Amino acid sequence: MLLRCIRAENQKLHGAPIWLVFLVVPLISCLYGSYNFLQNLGLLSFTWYNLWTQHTLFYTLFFFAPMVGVYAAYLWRLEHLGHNWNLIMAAPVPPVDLFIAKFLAVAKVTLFTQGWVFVLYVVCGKLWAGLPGWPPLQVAVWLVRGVVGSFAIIALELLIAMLIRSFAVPVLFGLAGGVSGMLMASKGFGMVWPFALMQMGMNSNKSEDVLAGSGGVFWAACLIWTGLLFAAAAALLRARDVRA
Amino acid sequence: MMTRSFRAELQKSRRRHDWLVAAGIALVVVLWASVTYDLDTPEELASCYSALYFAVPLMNAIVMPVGMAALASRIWDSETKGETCKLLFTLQSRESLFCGKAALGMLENLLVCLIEVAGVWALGLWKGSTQAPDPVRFGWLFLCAFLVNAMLYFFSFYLSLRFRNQVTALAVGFCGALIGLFAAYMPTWFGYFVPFGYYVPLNGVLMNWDRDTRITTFYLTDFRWWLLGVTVLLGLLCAAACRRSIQTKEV
Repeated sequence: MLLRCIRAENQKLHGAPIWLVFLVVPLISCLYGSYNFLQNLGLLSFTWYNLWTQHTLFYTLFFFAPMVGVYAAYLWRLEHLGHNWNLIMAAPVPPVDLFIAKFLAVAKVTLFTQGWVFVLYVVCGKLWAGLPGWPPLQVAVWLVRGVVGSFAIIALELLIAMLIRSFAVPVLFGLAGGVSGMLMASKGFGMVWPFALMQMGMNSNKSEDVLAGSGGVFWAACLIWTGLLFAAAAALLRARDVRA
Repeated sequence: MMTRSFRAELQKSRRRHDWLVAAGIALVVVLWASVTYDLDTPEELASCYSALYFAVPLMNAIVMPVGMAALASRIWDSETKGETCKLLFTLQSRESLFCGKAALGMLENLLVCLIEVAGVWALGLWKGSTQAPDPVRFGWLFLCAFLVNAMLYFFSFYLSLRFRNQVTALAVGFCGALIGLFAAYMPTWFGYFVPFGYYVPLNGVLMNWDRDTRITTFYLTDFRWWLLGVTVLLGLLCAAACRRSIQTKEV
């Protein structure tokens, strides 16, 4: 049943306008990042690490969470239109499977987004900035950490998009979450706030690893937050029923 | 007819909890401004309000394009989801529908700007600023935020009207925020071509950061009235496009 739900969610993504967001947001971020990197070589050293911070700083802090909000809101909006909610509630599948399938669909798009960020980073670094050599392997680790850190954001955004029948609110909530994540991380409370996990995992604002020595806590925080949000979604879906 | 239409829009907004969303948009900016600078030393407190006049427009450039897109999208999306256009166009004039939605949007925009300006004023007092708040600067901050917000509201409203799927309005809103933010770090002339980020070139404060002493100094500058005029013009163009779009909408 879960496999069928996943297939259905994947079909909904075909031809969806969210792919434009997927393409454009990292592209703007990388164009500006490369330009800023080359303009500030007096302040920044000519290394792949510094290009990474310029490429991903604003994207990670302010625009990743609203982007996930767009993905999540789009997938739930289809269920909120017309009588689709009653249809899915009456479908012969456990309601939590719907949430898991949507989570996997958004996680897949997020994984592609991170891949796209990496491709743009390498292309701009080699062809535009003319950096010597290849990016350090650590950058790939930060990208993977970013993906895992984003799981909590995806689950939270999906939960909000499921509860609030509005397209705009999850996106706005993502923006507020990005700002709050930055503030929590700067005050040292990043591990207890889901929006800060992805930002810390991506290591966007420092050339030294912000998670050095606390990697285990980070993975545990990602697991706990994602688990808690899944449990909340399952409980809410069990309690909800068709709407007359 | 117009008053009745506006009352109907107010009733719809109550169920949507639009006031909560508008207050949330302003509070994000105020909360963010409250932790941006360490305003502890006497020197920092002596330029506390200048720092806030400088920081708030930059935060507006990130938050407001998405915020205005969210408000505009919610106001029209209720008609899209309820398939109510056919009914509305037979019960009221299209002109009154546009006026009702435009007035509600501006009222929500007013609320956002009032909460933001009051919050920033209170923030300076709470931090113990030794610089007196300047009513003229606050008036300028309010005016710029309101007019740029209005322009972005009508632009987003137009996108919501044209595209049934609300992805477009929201995605353009936050891509605009991204470009507006980047324009803030580009040469000033570049910012004139990015209306999404007009909050920053309209800002009446400049900052100088001395790399050696690590001291930040703020300078108050003249207001760019001509750019405010451009903002009003663009806002009127977007509003006219929305009006036309409602009048010619096929149902």
